[in-house]
Amino acid sequence: MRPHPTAVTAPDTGDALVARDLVKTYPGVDAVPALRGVDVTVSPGESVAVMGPSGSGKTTLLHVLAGILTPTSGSVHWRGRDLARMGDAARTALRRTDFGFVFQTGHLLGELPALENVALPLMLAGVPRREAAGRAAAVLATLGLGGLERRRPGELSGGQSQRVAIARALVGRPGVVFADEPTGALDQQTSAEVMGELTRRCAQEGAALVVVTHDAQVAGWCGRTLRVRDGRIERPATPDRPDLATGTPNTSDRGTPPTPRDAAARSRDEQTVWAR
Amino acid sequence: MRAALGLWWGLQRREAAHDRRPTLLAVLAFAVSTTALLVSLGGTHAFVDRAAVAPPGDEYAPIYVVLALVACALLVVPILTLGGVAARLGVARRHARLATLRLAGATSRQVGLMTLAECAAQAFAGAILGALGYALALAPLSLLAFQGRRLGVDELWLGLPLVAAVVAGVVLLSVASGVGGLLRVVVGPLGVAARTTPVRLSAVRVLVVGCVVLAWFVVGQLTQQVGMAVTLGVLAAVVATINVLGPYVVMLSGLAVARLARGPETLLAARRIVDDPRSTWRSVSALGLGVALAALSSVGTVIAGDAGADPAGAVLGADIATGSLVALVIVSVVAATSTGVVQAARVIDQGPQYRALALAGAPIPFLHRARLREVTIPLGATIVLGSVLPLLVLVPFADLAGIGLLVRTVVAIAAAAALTVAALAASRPLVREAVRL
Ligand SMILES: Nc1ncnc2c1ncn2[C@@H]1O[C@H](COP(=O)(O)OP(=O)(O)O)[C@@H](O)[C@H]1O
Ligand SMILES: [Mg+2]
Repeated sequence: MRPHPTAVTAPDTGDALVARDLVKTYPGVDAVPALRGVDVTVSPGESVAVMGPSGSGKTTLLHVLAGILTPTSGSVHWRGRDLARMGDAARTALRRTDFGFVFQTGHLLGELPALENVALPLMLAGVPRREAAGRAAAVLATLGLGGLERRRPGELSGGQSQRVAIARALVGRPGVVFADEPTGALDQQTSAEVMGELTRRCAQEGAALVVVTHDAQVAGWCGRTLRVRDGRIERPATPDRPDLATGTPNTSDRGTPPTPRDAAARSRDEQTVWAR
Repeated sequence: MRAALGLWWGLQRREAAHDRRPTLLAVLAFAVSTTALLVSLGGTHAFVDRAAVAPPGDEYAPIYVVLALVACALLVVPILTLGGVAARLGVARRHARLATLRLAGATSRQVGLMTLAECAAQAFAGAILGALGYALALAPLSLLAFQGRRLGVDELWLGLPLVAAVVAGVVLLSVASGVGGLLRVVVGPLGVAARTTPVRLSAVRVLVVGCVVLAWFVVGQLTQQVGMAVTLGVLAAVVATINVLGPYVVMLSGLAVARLARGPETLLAARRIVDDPRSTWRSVSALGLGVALAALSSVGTVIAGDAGADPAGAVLGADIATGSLVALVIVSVVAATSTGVVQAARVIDQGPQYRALALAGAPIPFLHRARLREVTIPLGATIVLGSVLPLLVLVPFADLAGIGLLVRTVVAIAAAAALTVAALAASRPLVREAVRL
């Protein structure tokens, strides 16, 4: 195996998601890199908002962090394992077991009732159907969707659909939930409600959250904000202060949803961006 | 209108290559159904021709005409179904473009006319290709021998006016079907786009079918009194009721499988079947019908072979076997095209959902397995229903010749099913493309 550039300097990553010096150039004729040297650390249980203009590389960053895209150079470590060194099948399995995803328009399967949409990832992981359905119903109930289990996505409002998508992302007890503009298609009021649920439930489950958003209010609900511009993270702050930058692991907070005001206050205090 | 036309043309030109695939699928479906229709009509034409010049004493010539008419009547249903699939594809795929045009200020009348024009253009292109396919098929078809001599190309050729009429008919039918689709969109735009709990098909269907089958038994007893026309009419009604019963059976089997499913691929496949039992039925009905036809005719052949030692009767028996095989080949190609086109269209429609599943860690083989099951569950049910009953009837008559025929029938059915599954596999690249990361 070829020596990995970051193998020597591999930080003491512990349980975190750690990306170092990410460069991503999409194949193409006159390709400009979509990411040009990004460092990110996402600690267990923390919530990170990713903001930036359209085309700045937010989605690319999310996909590289989640092992969907392979970076052109640089590394991503998850719980000490280098994603680049895992096989394709192992990375796919990792996305199933360790990560959860929420997309802008849910992308729930239209033919399946809400309950089965949520149970499907568990069934894919080999959980027997009955148990998967039970766990899915429990998660739906915590999101205020009790009674809607048999509805299909076409019979749910936009906000309800996104809650089902959140339930689907959380049902496998992931370490990190990735959300790409999860409330981009919702009105402001619903958007605030859904984001509240997303941050609250991730905190309850102890899952870290990485959420791309255009909405400053939405970003306010997160522990800190990364600003991306032209494939770089803006306003690089003092490096190597993970104690400051990664937010509080908040063992004490677990189980109590952060109120919007708390989250906003925290985000003002901890605007430190941990980037080189 | 000129502005709207200009916009339409612009959209048309700029459409990325992959957005044209639904159009290509529709043209392919129109082409295959036109070829199948012309070949079936051509075969019937050949026997009518022969009967016209047959010596007065030939009592078998009219039987051939009747059998050819029956086969043609049976084939027309799946062929028209395939044409309907093509027309639906043409209309349903245009929502986004219609919305753009409406936003740009085109009236709904203008948009409707453009849609119908496009639909007609696709049908015309497909029908012309289909007519070419028919012309090319004439030579190999003329190798088949019936009544002890080969079919001539001149016997199989319908003549230019008739071929032109068929092409025009295909275009007209597609436009009619397009109008139906447009009306649905106009009446309930959400009803078409959003997926709501599927309306359960009602058990009244079973009642209707029961009545028709009863009528068939009655008429079967009275054939002498009511005459051939009425008998054929009731037979056509029986075939039509298969299309009434089919979606209902498909829905029931889908519900049962969904309830019992253990694995995620079976669950997803069953839910998709229940979601649109009519479209599922459309994609397998042709094969079910062909299978029933093949099985029934092999029963008939064995019984006929047992009954008469008369040489012309033996030729008739062999000709029925040949003819039913030809019909099975036609129906298999039509069925495989239906399945392939319906499934490919579903992948194109559900690209975002497939992609989201893959991003969230669903392996691509899982998607393939779910799609395969979506076809094999109804296909298996149809083949069992269509073949097991006639074959069971055959067993008591099974002497050595019968067993040979039985084997041939089973092999033919298996080949037809394999062709359908292969047509499904042809859309695998679409899945890979939809989920490409
Ligand atoms: N699949 C792709 N192929 C080629 N270029 C891409 C692809 N996806 C994104 N890009 C380019 O990469 C840059 C970043 O895109 P993206 O990460 O989607 O930005 P954002 O999510 O911030 O809007 C853009 O310039 C975009 O055009
Ligand atoms: Mg984006």
